[in-house]
Amino acid sequence: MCMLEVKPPRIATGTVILPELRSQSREVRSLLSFPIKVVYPYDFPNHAIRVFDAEERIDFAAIPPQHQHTFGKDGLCTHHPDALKFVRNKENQSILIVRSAILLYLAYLECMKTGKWPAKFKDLPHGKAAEQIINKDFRRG
Amino acid sequence: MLGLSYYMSKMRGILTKCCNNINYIPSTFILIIPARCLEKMSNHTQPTGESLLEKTTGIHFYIGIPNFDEIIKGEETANDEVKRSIHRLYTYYIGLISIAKYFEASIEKFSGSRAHVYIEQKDEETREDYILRCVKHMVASLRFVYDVFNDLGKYSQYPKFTAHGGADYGDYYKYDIDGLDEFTTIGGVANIAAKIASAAPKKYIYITNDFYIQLSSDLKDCFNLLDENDLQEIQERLKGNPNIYCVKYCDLLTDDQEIEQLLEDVDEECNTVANSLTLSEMEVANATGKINFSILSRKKSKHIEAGILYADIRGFTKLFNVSGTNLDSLAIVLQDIYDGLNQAATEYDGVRVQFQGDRIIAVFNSFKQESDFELVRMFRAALLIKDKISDLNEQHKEHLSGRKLKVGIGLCYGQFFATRLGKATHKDNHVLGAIAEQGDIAEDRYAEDQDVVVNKSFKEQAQSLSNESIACSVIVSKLTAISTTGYYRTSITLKEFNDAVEKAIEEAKNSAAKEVAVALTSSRGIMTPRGSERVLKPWGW
Repeated sequence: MCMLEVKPPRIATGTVILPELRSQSREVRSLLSFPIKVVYPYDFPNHAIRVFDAEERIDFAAIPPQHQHTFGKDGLCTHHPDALKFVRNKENQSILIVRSAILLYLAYLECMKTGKWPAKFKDLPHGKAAEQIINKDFRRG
Repeated sequence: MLGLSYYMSKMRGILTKCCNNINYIPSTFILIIPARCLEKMSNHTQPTGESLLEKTTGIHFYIGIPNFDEIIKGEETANDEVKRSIHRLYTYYIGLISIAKYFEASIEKFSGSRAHVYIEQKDEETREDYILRCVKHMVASLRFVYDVFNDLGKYSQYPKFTAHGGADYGDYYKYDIDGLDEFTTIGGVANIAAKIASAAPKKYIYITNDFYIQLSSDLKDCFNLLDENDLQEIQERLKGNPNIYCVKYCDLLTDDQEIEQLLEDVDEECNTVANSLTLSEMEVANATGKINFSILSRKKSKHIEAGILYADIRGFTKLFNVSGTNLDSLAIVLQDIYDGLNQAATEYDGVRVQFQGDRIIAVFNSFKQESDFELVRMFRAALLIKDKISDLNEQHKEHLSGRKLKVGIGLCYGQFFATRLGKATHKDNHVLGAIAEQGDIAEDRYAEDQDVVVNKSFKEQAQSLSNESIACSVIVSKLTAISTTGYYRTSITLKEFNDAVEKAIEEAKNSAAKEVAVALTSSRGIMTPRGSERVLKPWGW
């Protein structure tokens, strides 16, 4: 999924694509690839990575406010902190976060193409409402 | 009358200095100029426009090694490296440079095993002495190959070089390509010399009738008119019917002491040069980055799997023969041609090897962070050259006197070698190997106006990348075989190509959209190498 080049001490940059799209042609891959910067905290893996839109491709002002998943200068809002509790294998945590960033980008591309946020993409609502969904999901197993 | 206006402006300057106490300087005055000064002024070559396009007359001589391609192919097949060929080529160049220097000839370019030399008459020299100097230079060059180079101890175990030559006499234009650090001559005289040289059998020198009539009667007696069959063959290549004369190098100036002495000196120099570097000290590394010719040398060459572009402008030289042609205008067109060719190559990350007359050779190899496959970049550069030439035809309609520039392009792909050889005073970039020869053939033999012709391995490489690259699949779909030659042609334009690629990408995107939709809706779990996991979802406070 990743083509990341890690620069010491803790920043990785590169272009990422969903593994299921890797068989596409070079041209399509480049359209669906997302250039990101990943910042590893000093106490990684105790704390999760943070993902940034490296080329500022996502224009958050152009999408509905409820889907503007960004911390601005502090990166993309890829997950609710509670959701990390349910990651079974800690080593998967970074992959899941990067995947979430890619999906956000793909949803953005879809939105730019159709003018509507893709209805089937179930991102979390802003604020505390997200906790209920996460817990519900967890209970469902 | 550039000379006169130049002279008048100088005179005006002198008058200004003399009359510094007078406020009025006449803009017209009567000049009394001695006849000999007028003659000098008319011969004075003044820079035309912003460029230097200088008309001159002289001999162009090409010497080539007809078996060099075979030698290099043999070495490539035997050990994948061409160290021996590069080593020998370097020594051969050094010998030719020394001979040219001795006879005050100028080397325009070394291209593979071919050297392009031109010789001008000196002011103080008689016509007879000048022609004799040219003939001595030609004979010394061929004798150097057979009697000196092939006898060098260092190369005694290698296949011997053969040599042939061709020369023509006439007008041509010297041009310093502005901003691109290259010099070239333009004119039919060089083209004809190159073509008759390549038609000459080994050990022979062919000359045109224009050169022949300059010879003294003694020298004329040494040359023979080609027989009808040979003549017809060459005239077909030249698309004209000049008489061609031939001589075996060893039948000309047989006991010339000056040549003997020179060759002894050259022998000594070449021996020193040949023994100054062993093959184990030579490095032929695989190219990983964009080729930088300035760091290459006999000691350090590159082995590359890449593409080579050959783009030749046709019809430009003929413009010089159109009566009333303005040299300044042609200089502007010429500079635009060179800029256009160079820009097209660099825009797609190609590296110029050299200009040969009005032809460009450029290499496109793969490197980190390249925008596209080298094959695609090279193909786009070729199409951009076609566009640029069409634009120039429009832009310079008047300067071109109603004629149109034509362009033929050859592309090849495969493994070859890149190096830079020569002395500090004259060095040229080179691409060597069987593949490089195929690109040359694609352009020279098969590419007609606005055609892009590719070799077989280019097509095979494009085919192998078709699943990976939409642009490659479009390239393959546009190529048609040129009978059973192993070459393929297309006349597609850049716009048509871009449209076709865009359309194919759109179709591919639609098929990818399904997979994107599945990914976006998989709100539950995914399978990772370490087991299944629930996906994380973007959030926001």
